[in-house]
Amino acid sequence: MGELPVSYREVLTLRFEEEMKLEEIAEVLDMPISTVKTQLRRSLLRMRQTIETRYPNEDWNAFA
Amino acid sequence: MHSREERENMKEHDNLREQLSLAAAGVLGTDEEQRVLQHAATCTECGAELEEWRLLTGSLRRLPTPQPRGEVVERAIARAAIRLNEEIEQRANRRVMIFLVAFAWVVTLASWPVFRMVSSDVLVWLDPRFNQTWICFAAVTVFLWATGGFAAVLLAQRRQSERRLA
Repeated sequence: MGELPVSYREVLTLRFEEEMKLEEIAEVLDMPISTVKTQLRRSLLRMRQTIETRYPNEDWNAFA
Repeated sequence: MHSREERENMKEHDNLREQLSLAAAGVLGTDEEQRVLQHAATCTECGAELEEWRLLTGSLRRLPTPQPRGEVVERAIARAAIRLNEEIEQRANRRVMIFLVAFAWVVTLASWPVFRMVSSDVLVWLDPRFNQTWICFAAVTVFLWATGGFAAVLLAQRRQSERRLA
């Protein structure tokens, strides 16, 4: 996760660690909800790509 | 060459596929989430992808994540404090509401024998017919409940405006 850009890490932290709702994340990051959604989708995609690059043969169930 | 219906189905598939990660993150509205889940249940490709997103988001919930910027942490703490205060206030309001309703019922029920005694009609306490005492009792009860409800709404509005100004 440390490899992701700061803005991506923030949105992931607020959603998955702080368990905030979209509205709350939007308030904390001072951005529209639609932007938060886009940021969240992009950050998850980047996270997924990073994992797939780093562990190319790993089964997704290893993360279960 | 694809038919128009096939093209529309593909477009719908692509749109819903983009939402899979957000569905796994639990941030979609009920209707949106329902559409995504229904599609994932019938589309093997999206079903498998949704499962992968769920594994990823599940692991994110369990793993420790790096600290964000200081200002973001401050705003998150402020937001959490607001949420906590709201919860405390909601709990206090609920207690007051329960007390008021219980109190109103006690007053309502206690006022019944008082009415009967005042009307010097003690012997017909359990008379279910609609006589004058019954009507007076019902009118006063309705008046008390309506006044109490009105006062509660006014108080709630006042507290809300005070909170906004604070």
